[in-house]
Amino acid sequence: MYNILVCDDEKEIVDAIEIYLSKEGYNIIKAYNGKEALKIVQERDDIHLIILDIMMPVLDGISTANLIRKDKSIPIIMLSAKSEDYDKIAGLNNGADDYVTKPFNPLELIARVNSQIRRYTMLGTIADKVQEGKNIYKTGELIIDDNTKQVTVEGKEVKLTPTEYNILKFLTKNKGIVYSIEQIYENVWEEESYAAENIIAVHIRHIREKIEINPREPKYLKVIWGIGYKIEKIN
Amino acid sequence: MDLEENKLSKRRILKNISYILIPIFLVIFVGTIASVIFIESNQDFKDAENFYETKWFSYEFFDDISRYTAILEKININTDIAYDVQENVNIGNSDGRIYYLTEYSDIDFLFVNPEEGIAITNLEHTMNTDTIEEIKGYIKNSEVYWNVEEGNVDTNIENLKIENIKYKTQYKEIEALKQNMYTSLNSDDSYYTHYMEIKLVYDIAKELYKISVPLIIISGIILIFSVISVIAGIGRSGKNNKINLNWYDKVPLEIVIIIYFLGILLNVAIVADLSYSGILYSIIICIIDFILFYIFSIITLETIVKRIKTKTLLKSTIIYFICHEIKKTYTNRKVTTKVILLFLVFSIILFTLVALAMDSAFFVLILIGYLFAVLWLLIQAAIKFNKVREAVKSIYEGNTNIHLNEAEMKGVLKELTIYINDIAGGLSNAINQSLKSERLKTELITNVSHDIKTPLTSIINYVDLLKKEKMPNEKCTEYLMILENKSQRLKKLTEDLIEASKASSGNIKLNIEKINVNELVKQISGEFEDRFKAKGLEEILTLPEEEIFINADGRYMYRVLENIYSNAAKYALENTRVYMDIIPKQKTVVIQMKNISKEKLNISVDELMQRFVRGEASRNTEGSGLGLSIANSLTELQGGKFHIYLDGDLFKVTIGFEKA
Repeated sequence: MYNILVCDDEKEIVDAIEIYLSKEGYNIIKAYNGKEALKIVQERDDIHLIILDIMMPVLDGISTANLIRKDKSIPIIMLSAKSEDYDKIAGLNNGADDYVTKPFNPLELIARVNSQIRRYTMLGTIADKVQEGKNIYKTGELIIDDNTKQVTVEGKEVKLTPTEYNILKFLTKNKGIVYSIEQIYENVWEEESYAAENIIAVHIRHIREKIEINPREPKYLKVIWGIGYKIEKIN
Repeated sequence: MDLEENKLSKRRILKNISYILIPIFLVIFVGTIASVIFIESNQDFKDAENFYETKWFSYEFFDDISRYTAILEKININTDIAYDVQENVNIGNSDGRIYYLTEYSDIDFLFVNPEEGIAITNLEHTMNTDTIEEIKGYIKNSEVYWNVEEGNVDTNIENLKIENIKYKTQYKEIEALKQNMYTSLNSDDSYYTHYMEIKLVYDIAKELYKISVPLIIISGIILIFSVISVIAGIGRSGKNNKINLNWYDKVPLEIVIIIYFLGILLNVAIVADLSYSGILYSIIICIIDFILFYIFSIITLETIVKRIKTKTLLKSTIIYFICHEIKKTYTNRKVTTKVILLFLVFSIILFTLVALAMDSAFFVLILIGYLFAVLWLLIQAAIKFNKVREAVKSIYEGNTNIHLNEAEMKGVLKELTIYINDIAGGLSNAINQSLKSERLKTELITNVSHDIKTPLTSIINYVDLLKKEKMPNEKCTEYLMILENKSQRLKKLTEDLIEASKASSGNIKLNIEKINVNELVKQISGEFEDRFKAKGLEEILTLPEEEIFINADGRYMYRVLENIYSNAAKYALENTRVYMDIIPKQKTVVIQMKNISKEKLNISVDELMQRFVRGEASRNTEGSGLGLSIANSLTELQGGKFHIYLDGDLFKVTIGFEKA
């Protein structure tokens, strides 16, 4: 049983999150402003994850996260109505591990909570144990085992078609490098592509839908618009 | 536009045709009227069958002939006068001699004097064949002939036959006067030429007279129409319906009129001079003169009509100019009286000094000094004026942060300076105000949107939770579905609202880099493949062979194209094709999407681009109606051009960028 501290000044939102996460088997501790949250964190040692709103009375989420980070490494997911890039950057720079915008998709929030809990509690995930080596490619928690043709993301196996598998393998093998559609085509099919084809783009979207929590904001397979695609290099 | 163009070019062609028609029908019109007057004015001309039948001709001819006879008589007497050939023939009962005067090619004649045994003719000599009878025969076949034998006249001219008796007397008189005749044969061809000329005029006049009524009516109508079409067509040229004025249209009207009258005088002089020349030469000169004068008349007519059409006829006169200048001086008398007074003072001092300097070297120096002083004052004024000019220019260029020193200006310039300072201050305030209010608006929208999002989060989440609960009946499930749809739409709307306000206020940080248009379009096309398929839309991608790069922010370009694709996915008619083309141009590249709209597009492009307006009147589908507005703003922020074209149900978007 993991304990999750949910802090938002809107009581109904806290209650809703409680309903969702309880179903997943988490124990919820509630707080309604930054100060309360801080107090709970200081009093208890068994908090495994904090979901923190930014705009709150008494003490705002950014300051709270900052203060928590002084002596704790508990994962923090920011939950805010502010959706601008600089808001997200500010949140992540001030100790947050993830950022979810309101109004949120409950499934996405659950997936992100699960992901953070796994990382925090497992003392190194499967991904950490797997060493990149012979025919095994990985970035973050995306692992491709070319011996068994298996793809796992955050511990879960993902089913890909052979073409999708080949594209993902090629990009993961060369993680951090941006490839254009044509380059991907030439490397995966080993033949030249035709001008008016969006096949690769379609495959990439399918892969993203399979491996990402939120395909519109991908963590692993990133789209560089007008340039190409890449697999993010995550250690 | 095309129709208008067509109409104009038709009018131009009509005008040019009219220019050719006018002189032709003018000649016909005037000629016919002149003919009518010519014929009507003389009963004799009117009655006669042809020229030779006119009394006028018979009198003239008889007159000439009597003189002619006299001449011939003279030849008879003085046989040493030149004749070509002579031949022996029988004349009457006696032997005689025939003289051929072939160089006199006048009216065919035969003159016989049996008493003396002499015959004279101008028929061509054919050696050994001609007898008097034969010659008579030839003469009878000629158009006009004259045969005198023993005082009897034989001619084919009826009137001359009538005059025969008169001739007989004349003949006798001639006989009597034979001894005293001195007339020479010089230039006697001119008789004939003279008749022929008059005959020509008479014949034409007669012919025209016969058909004068229809001719006058027809040519008159054509003339009127031609003149109207010329006047209507004058000045209209080029693409727009504007009247183009050339340099001649700006020449004062008085000068134009004077030049035209000089032209008329010159013409009259040329024509008057012709009365001493031959008819052929006169005709050629007349035609050339007529053409030149006609062209000159066209130019003058054109300029006057153009002036009337542009309402500058009076304004282009010198008199108007003078009156206008005087009026201007009077209305601006606040300034002009000052200038006039100053000029008067300056002139009086100048003349006084010049007068004094006539005989004094000292005053010459003073005069020079005076002139330099005036020059210095003028330069000072010019410098101050330039300062004002610079200030106005900098306001015009957008720099409102200027201030002129009012203290150093005087009079009118000082007044001007105060105004300019006021305007500059006001403008800079206004600009700051509008910038501030734009920023406040964006902030307001963003903040309100954030505040809406918090309760919205609860709504969406509890609707979702409710969905998982067991519903008492079907209706509840249905209502819940509506709640879910609407709450999702509200979410989308708030997101779009923030983006639209930021995009339209330019409150966005761009990260411009070189991006590949082909790649971008393929990527987005891939993203939308499923959504298009779901609606049965088939995308036809046409990409160029070569790679094309533009300078733009990839993420915002994605937003622009995403909005367009999403627009097509939402509003294109199901099971149709969507065309996506990249069209490279010389220096630019155009990304173009075409699709068939599902709903009637009964609004204008402008309305469509405005926020919150969508193709269909009702707003019961997904989307906020901000998509195109956002795409437009984002494109323009990145330096591109965004256009929408509606043609029936065809919806076309083009995005133009300069190639990198």
